[in-house]
Amino acid sequence: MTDELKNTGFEEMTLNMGPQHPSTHGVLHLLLKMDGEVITDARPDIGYLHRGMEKIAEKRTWGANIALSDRWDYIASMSNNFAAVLGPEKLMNIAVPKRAEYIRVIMAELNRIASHLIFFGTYGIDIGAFTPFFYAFREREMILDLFESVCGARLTYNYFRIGGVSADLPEEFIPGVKAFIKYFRPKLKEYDTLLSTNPIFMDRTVGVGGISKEEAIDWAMSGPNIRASGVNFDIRKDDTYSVYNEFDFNIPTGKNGDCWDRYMVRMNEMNESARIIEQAVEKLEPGDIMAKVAKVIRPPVGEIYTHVEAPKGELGVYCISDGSTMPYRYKVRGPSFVNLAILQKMLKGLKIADVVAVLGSIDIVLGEVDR
Amino acid sequence: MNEKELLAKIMEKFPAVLESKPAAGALPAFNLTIDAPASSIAEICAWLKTGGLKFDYLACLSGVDLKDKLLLIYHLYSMEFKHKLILKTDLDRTKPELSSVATVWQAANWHEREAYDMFGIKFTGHPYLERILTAEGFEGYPLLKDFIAKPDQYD
Repeated sequence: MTDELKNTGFEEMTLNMGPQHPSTHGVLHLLLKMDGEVITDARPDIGYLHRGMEKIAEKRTWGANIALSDRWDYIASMSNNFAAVLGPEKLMNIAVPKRAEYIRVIMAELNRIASHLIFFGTYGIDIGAFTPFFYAFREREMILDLFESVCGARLTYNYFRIGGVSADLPEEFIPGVKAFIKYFRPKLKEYDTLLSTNPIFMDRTVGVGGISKEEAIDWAMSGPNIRASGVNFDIRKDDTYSVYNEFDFNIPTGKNGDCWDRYMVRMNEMNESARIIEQAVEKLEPGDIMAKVAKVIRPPVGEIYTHVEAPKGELGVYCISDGSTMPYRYKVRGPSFVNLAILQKMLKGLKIADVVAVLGSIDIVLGEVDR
Repeated sequence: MNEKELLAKIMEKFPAVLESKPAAGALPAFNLTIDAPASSIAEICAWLKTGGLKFDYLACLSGVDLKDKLLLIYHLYSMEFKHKLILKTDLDRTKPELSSVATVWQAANWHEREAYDMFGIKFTGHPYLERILTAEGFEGYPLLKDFIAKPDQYD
């Protein structure tokens, strides 16, 4: 604040945004120092949803931790399941049957579409467009119905198992997926006409909250956030897992790293996910869905860091086994937690009205930030 | 660059660094893992980033309580060369303290706050070392193995 302003009786104001605020997507508390309308200092205050997941994990069996993983990023539970099973599988050297691998990929990619649809809908609301929300939830509903037909749950699936998946696909699932992809493809164009190129939406997002390539790497951002800044980093390609190396798909990237780029990367990713699902459905053949695994899971002594490309970014699990039925240490590297950290730097110098636009574009889930 | 060359380069610069061998009967960590003394961690990290190896991405920082000592694990990538490294350092359990790497990688800022919150590890030179996840006024460090949870009003 300039001395001139101080002499005229103006002073810095502290504004508390949240923890209960519709635009913070959960219980996030932002402490903002304001000079008029301009933010001079920002401090995210997190932890309101902290449930001690890592401590609880040390008192649960490896299998039970899959159910716990549903509660990290609760709108993309399939990806969490994926991260939770890879570690013990590698430690125990389990070869997962091909059919189970394809089923896992189909589930993870469907869930990516569902997660990005939530982003699309809620980001519209953040900016002031209410209609996209209904469009997005209409499509997401169809994905949830598919998930429900497989595992009975609509949010916390608990579908993956160490060595495979818990149930084979019901008869109507594959036709349902095919019908959904056919229905969904044209909808992406509809979204573009509805929101992506809307002049008001672009005014609010283009050139706002830019992150440079160097900054994105320095703050270890991942997922669509780092790709929007022009870094081609995707774990499905860079450190491939499961059967992702068998599919032909592109990694959409942005140039400027602003809010609009982050938005567009996610929109394009939905199309790529649809492509992966189509290929996986083609490759799906009858077979086993579970490897032969002992009833009691006791991975040998050792440690491993496994990561998957979750819809929000790099979801890593660092687990240490002491040879017992429960993990000795179970560290979760949530992408939302790491992506959110840059907020304290990004918000400085922006206007108060842009806070919601920037926060929404990072696409966080507080369940994963606080764990 | 393969793992042997990487290790040779690092050991040439820092002779105190050792390749980490898994304990007898244990599985390796599937990547190049090195042990570094806690006293020189800031120096090593700064060199890993700015030296020729360009480890510019701190993916994960985890603390572990091994009962007789604490362990810090840094998972590093290089975006340019796409190589990976796991850096481990031991800490004295009674007085865990080492210098912060938040100035090397900004991403370490919240990771270190989390390690402080969960294990009580003091990172000297950290810009804002406060508890991050646990509630205000929380006592103790929950991820230590000897932590005893006190029932709260909801238990």
